[in-house]
Amino acid sequence: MDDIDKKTDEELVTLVLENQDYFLYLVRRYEQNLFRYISRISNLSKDDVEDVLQDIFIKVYKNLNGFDPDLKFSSWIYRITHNEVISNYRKYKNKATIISFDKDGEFIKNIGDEFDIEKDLSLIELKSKIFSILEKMDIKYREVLILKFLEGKSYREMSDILRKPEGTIATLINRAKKEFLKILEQEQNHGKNK
Amino acid sequence: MEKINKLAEKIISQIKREEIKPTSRWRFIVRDSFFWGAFVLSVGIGGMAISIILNTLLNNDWDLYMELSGDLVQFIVITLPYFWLFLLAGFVVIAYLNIKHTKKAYRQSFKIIVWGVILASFLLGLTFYNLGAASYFDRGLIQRLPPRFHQMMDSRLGVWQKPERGFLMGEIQSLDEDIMELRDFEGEIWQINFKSELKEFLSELLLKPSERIRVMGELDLEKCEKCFSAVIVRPLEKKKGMIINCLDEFPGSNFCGMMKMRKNN
Repeated sequence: MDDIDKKTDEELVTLVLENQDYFLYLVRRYEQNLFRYISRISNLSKDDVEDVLQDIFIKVYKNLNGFDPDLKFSSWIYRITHNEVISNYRKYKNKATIISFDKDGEFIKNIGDEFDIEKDLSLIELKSKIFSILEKMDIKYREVLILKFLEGKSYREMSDILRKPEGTIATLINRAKKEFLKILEQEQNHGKNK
Repeated sequence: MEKINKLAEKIISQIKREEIKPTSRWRFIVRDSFFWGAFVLSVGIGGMAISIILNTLLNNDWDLYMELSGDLVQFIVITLPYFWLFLLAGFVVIAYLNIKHTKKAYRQSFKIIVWGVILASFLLGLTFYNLGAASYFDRGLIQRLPPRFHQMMDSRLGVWQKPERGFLMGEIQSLDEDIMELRDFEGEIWQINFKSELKEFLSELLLKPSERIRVMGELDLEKCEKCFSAVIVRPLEKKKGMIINCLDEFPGSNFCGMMKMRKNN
């Protein structure tokens, strides 16, 4: 087991292609990250996320021979996840529930710092504010913010996941920030008027 | 999280139960090769279109625009090779869509890909043109299409298929010293006789049957319904070493037009 943990994703892919039992390790390596990623971008309930994740891993297994070793495996598996969620987004949207930010203190802090949201807010208030803004954002903007601030992906990785040039990723992030600030401002104005 | 830990086992058991196998590597290779092949083919067709556009523009009758349409802008509008320009645009889009499906093309911006495709098509088109393939493509396609499509393929027909105004374009069927038989692009056969001033130049034009030419002159209805008296004859494509000389023989006008072969000496 220790040996397996030391192996890179790419080495593990080679092993899976020889023996399907190794796929278990690959699933374990990514299930939590992907579970969180799908929850963030789709707003699905935990049970639904689990179903989606199962379909995604089966798709990953079927397409292992198509994995391009020039890419990072993580970028490739995130791309498959992104494609699956986006292509079924309309279906998922009807099942959407509430986003849980229970364990995303770092994300909240990162995004709070980035947008300079009122420093005197408690973490709970901050979470609630950021959550309400993200929920109102277009999925394409929400996703880039999540990939950048939650998943900590570089521009190159985001380019590989979303299959867009890095320049377009930069533009999307800028627009997402503007959209975020616009909604934030609207919420603040709304609060003052009350 | 316990639920998640169970997910891995669930997935492995589903793979085993349903005997799911990874898709063969060959299918991915074939898929990728298909998109590359379609991309190369699209650039190739774009190159062919560019070579025909060059051929049409460089062999257009820029010296005769006054006689043919009376105005330079109108002449350009009438004779631009629209069919090939639209075909080029279509295949640039097809090439873009194909390359976008290959493994790493998404890293390049739309502008870089589109300009890259246009540049590649242009260089290929220039090569085709210099190798003389442009007229081969143009002619090959025109010959395979019914006459009603000819003007769509070559806009110059719009100004040259007007015998009543003294302009005629077609393919030489037979040729001797005094008379030529010409089939126009509507399929009509014309008897072309040459004005005396023209005869001395004809041998230097090295015309031969099946060559496509343009003729200026006038209808000779006294002789027959499809008789035409030629003052100027010029091949559809310029030949190497050919220059344009001035001749003031055309009735009622004064323009440069006679093509003459300059022998390299």
